[in-house]
Amino acid sequence: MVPNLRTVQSESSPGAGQLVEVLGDTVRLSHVVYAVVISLVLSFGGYWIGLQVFPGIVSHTLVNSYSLLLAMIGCIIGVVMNAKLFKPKRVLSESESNPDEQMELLEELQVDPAEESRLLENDPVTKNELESLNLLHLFNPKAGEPS
Amino acid sequence: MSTILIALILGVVGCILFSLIGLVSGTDETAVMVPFTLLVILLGAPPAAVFTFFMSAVLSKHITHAVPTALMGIPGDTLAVPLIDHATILRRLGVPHIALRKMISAGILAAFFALPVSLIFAHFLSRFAHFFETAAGPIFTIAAFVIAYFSKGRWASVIMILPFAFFLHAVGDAGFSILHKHLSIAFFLGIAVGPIVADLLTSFSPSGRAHLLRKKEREYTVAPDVKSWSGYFPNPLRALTGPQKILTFITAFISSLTFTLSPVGMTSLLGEAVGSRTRGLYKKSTTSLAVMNGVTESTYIAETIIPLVAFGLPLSPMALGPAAPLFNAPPVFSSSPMHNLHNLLTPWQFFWFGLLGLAVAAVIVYPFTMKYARRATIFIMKNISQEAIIAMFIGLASVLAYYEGHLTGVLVTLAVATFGGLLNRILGVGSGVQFMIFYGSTWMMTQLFS
Repeated sequence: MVPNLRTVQSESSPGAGQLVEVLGDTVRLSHVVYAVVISLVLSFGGYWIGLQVFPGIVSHTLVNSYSLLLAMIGCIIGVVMNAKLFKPKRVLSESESNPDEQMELLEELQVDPAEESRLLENDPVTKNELESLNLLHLFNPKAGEPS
Repeated sequence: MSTILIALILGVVGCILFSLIGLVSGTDETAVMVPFTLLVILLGAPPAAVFTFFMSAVLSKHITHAVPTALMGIPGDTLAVPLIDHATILRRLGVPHIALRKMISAGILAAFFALPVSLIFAHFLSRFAHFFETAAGPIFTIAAFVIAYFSKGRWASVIMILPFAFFLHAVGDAGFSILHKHLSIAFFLGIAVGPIVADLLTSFSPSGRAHLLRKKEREYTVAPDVKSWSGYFPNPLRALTGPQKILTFITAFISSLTFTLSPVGMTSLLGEAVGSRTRGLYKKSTTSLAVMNGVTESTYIAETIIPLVAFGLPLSPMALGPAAPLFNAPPVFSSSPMHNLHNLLTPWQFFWFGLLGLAVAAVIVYPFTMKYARRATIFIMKNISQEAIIAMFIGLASVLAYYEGHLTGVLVTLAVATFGGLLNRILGVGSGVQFMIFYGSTWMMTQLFS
């Protein structure tokens, strides 16, 4: 069962509502700012709480470490909150691995069918692998149409 | 609780944590491994258990990073970048599950192979400890020049070596004069989050923003559901052909020897070397992917173990990056005076606890990845926005920088991230180069100015 992969497409608006690309993915600038603020507040908050609470409970040398742990927990809570508040700006679709796509790829890469066939003649292992994947016909025209 | 039990628990924790992290693309290793490793150490885990945690984390991350790489054509992390092209070919042929299978099978084989090889090699190298200690500076510097030349920036990267080294040195000195201690975590966090900071800053600037603007959301294509996803998961030894297995072992061996060279560099290099000798489209892609992912595991493991076991000093890119806390984690571990895993564990303990980490991770991650790769990818793509990821990195890096150096630490990280990030984005000086410059900067500066 394939879930519906299409997510809501949103438009870019001027100013801080703009869509920009950061680290190769699309984000809305205003959301980034809010998310970062939330993350900083929760991380540093966790750290600060740790510094207040732990000195009475654990030995002096461990206070910093446990506070760091709380900071991490705060950060993770931040991730969950941010994930819930700010939906991904992505459009997901399923790729079609159809014969056209495959032929296009072979053309793009300038694959020489004669060369490929020749190589496969001497390489039964690869030939078997390709056969089991229904790909042999792409590289070995003599094998005929896919089953 | 016995050490073995704690190690086992931490191994499982590390595995689950880093499997999940590896599935989220763009999660740079240094930025995520340092905080959690540091945490485990500072919380007082026994050294052997820390090592198990780390080994488990390394294996897990480099298994699951193959998932977005194979299914979507997006690198799971920095180390997966060299694998993109071949993974995309297989995806377009309609067999991404094969790409995945080849990558993770080779990864597991290479990891288990690299563990003993590294230990043996470390044992042999320990007598040369003095040489490596003194030669580290020149080695890193030469490596920086080589990697710089082969980076996207080419000569621009090479030209920037000295200015960037000087910058790092200057910032380091400023930090020292304020805090009276040397910062290190702040620096490599800065380099690691550089690209994010650079992108964000560019977007905030109206003049810089133009080329980053997008009109609509990014489109992603996920490979379709294939019957082989569920149920059946093959033995890693059966997923690869004989020659592929041999090449995996050979490249794992070579990359273990070259422990002072950057992991990304070695992955690309060996991938190229093997790929150019392999003929036939399908065979070339599958073999290259297997070899490359194997190298991602073996370099990480060798570069952690060799310096740790042979010298106790951080003399490899890993040791100065993701594995740094194993060498220096004040107040628990330090490399001078030396009190870290080097003196706290015997080589046999490294072997058994390392093996435990690898085994725990392999047993959990391999079946999980084979069964749930596609579902996990879709879940993450639909529910975890990039904003949340970016915020996580910024939050984590800020707190850690603060932990190490308070406000000064944060400013150091911000300054390094800005300069390094912009160099990365605008000039093409990659993080690998920047890390290498960082490692060699002290030596470079003393050569020039003392």
